[in-house]
Amino acid sequence: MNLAQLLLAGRYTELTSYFSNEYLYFFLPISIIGYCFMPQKAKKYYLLAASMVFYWLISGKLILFLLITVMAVHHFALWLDRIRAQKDAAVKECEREERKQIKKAFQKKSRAVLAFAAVVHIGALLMIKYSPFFTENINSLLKLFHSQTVLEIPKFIMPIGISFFTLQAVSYLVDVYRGVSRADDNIFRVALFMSFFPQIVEGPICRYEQTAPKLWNVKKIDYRNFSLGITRVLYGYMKKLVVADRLNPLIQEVFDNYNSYDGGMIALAAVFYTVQLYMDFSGTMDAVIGTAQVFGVELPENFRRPFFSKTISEFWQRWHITLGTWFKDYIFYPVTMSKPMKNLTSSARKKLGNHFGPLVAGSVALFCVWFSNGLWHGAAWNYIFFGMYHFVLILCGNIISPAVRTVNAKLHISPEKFPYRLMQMLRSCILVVIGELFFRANGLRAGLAMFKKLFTDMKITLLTPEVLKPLGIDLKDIAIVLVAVTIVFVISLLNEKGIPVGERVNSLKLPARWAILFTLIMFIVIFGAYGPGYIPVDPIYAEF
Amino acid sequence: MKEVAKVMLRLTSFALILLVLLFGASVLFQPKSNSKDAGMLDSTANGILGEPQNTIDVLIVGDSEAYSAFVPLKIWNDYGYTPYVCATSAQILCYSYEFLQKTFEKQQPRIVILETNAIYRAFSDSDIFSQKLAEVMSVFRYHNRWKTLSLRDWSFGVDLSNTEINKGYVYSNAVSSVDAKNHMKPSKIHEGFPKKNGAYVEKIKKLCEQNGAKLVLVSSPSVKNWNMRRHNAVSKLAKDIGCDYIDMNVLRKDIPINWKTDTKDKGDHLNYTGALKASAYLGKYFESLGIFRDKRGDPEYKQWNSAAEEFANSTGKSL
Repeated sequence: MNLAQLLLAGRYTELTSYFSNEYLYFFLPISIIGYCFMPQKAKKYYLLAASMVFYWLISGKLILFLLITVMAVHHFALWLDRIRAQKDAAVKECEREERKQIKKAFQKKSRAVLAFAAVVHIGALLMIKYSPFFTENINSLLKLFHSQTVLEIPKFIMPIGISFFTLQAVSYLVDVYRGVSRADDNIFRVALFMSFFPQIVEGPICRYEQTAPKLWNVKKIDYRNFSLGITRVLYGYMKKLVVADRLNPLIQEVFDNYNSYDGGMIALAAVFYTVQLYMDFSGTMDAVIGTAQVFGVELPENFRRPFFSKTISEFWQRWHITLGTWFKDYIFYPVTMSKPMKNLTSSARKKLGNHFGPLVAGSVALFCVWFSNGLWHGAAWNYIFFGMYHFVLILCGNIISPAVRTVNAKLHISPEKFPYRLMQMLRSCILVVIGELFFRANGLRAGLAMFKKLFTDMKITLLTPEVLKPLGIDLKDIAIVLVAVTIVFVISLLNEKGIPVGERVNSLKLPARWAILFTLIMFIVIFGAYGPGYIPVDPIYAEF
Repeated sequence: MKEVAKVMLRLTSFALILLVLLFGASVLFQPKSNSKDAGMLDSTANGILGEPQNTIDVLIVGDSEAYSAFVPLKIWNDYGYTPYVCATSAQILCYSYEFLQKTFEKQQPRIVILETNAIYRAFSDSDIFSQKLAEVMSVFRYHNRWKTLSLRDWSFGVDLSNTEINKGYVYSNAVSSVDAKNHMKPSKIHEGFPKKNGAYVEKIKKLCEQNGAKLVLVSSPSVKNWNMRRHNAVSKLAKDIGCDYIDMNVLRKDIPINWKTDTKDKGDHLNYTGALKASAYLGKYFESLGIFRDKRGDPEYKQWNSAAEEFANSTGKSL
């Protein structure tokens, strides 16, 4: 037995799920108890050590990749900072006329360093995650042109969380380049920011300025944060175990064997998948943010009741918020504000007017965002299609919005009235469900075939026990899912109206608060889809 | 200090109330009988719990290979010995261990057979933990019974007297042949199994010894699951821990399995005709040990005769 085996390297891949026994009964309680006993000054180092142990347990030797990333990010940021300091010194010493030129020269230098850093980090992500996909497609093209050449498909082991921590790394470096953040000379703080164990697997994608100081200035666990955090973790468990995992057998069966099902059943599976994805991902985020709150760390929210969105654009401001803002800040704005795009906007404005003119450059930027968004989710055509689908929807929304406003005004329809808003929300939900059908389908071809069936083979089948049995689910499962979804809906509605349900529960008297907690725990224990007869379902976003 | 004491008191009270709730739910969700109708999981294997005290000679644990290959009633019919198959689908060794513990509380089998396919089934610490948790609080194993709870479940009494006529064997007369010409091709390679599994086999052996039983490793005939590489590794394991090993896959003369007619799923499992051949050999092996008596005439074992009769009637096959 070598040292790595002895020290349990990569032996606990189950920990990648924050719903696993290993995490719930061992890693989390041990981390919390150890944290309580740490002296104040050591708490931050303890969190860093716990995060490294966590990564070591789930990834083994691949921790080297994380460590190298941390060191590289730390180095590049300091390099950028040094260039800025040199620039400031040079600017101070020179004459006013020379300043512009000096600034330009140093900016060029910083840009080159940033580009190099981006090539290193994004390049590693592209190589590890996407090179097999690119090679497969090159091979298909070569075959199309009757070439005998077949490129070997590269195989890489993907470090867990690479898609998330790479984006964090790039955002930090760009922020340092832009002067939004100062480079941090404390490598331990950078390491904790990059590796904090509750969020390394599935995000949220944090910003350095926002999160690193909070992580580094952790205090002792206080009762309020502990209570709020644990309640939130339990709420996440309910979403994942009672709803998402319970729906899984039906979804898997229909998506894997869509040829055997009619359009009605495919539509039902697509709706169920959308519910599953939301409950799975937002439930995981509840567990992540709740765990961080136990340690007194406030992480950014990733969801804000997305199904109350009136447009697709708004939906993406409420769903996977930290990914959306990342694309906005580091792709959309840089593309829109680039010189060629500015020129394009001004010339288009002259020809197409003030509404459609800026839309042209905006659409180019939007295309880049949605192409990247699709590709970020996975190296497959159905993900790219998913991104393009949302690109088209948002673009159409932008184009027709003045016309819609005019029509509404002429017909005296008030967009603020509830029936209109409800119609908008339903429309957004339907469009989202269609997108998720392609997202979940086993490849683009399967997605298109399933979508076609919605129109060519639409039948309404009653969900009788006989119909449901081969789908691995029964009416009681659906009933309990409906109960849990209703609970989530009511809580979301209250939150949407500005009533902080978590805080309210926490401010109740102890017996009432405990009664709610015990009910929630027993609800999960009894109605959770786990144990004999259930195959544990890995959190969906951990695969991205 | 006062603050810490207050928090500790709160946490302890919370944990205690939670434990009471979980144990209460466990009482409610625990099946009130060891039958399938009452919601007992693996009810065929759990039929052992209903067998009268100290009436089982041999206990067989393992996965589907075991419950497909060994017909206890055949051995009863031929020799008057009483084996019971406590095998379950995809059984992992920690579950085999739990079955043995449960069985030793009421039975004193002289021989315990571990079907070796389970040695190659990996399991995690989480599986062990889940199982231990479910042993202590059955709500974690039977929580899904919320769908079938009846008035009877709101009581404390548990009746474990249900017996299974097949004595753990799962009958199948399906035939799906396989080409077995490469089966057990000579090899010197040892196919490794998880270290934890090797340790568990030793643990099982110790448990058997503590309860006066001898552990025997048996590989039932399977083209899909068994080969010479596994044979070599398990032979070594048996030698290392000091227990007998019978590989039925190499005993072609004694157990003439016809892979065209004796398998139900292309060489994965035996069907009834194959299982009769494997069981006949096992019966002969038990006889050679000379430690069991023929109980066919013993009125205390009357239920075995009626079980054999019922089995023959329900399957239409002779034993």
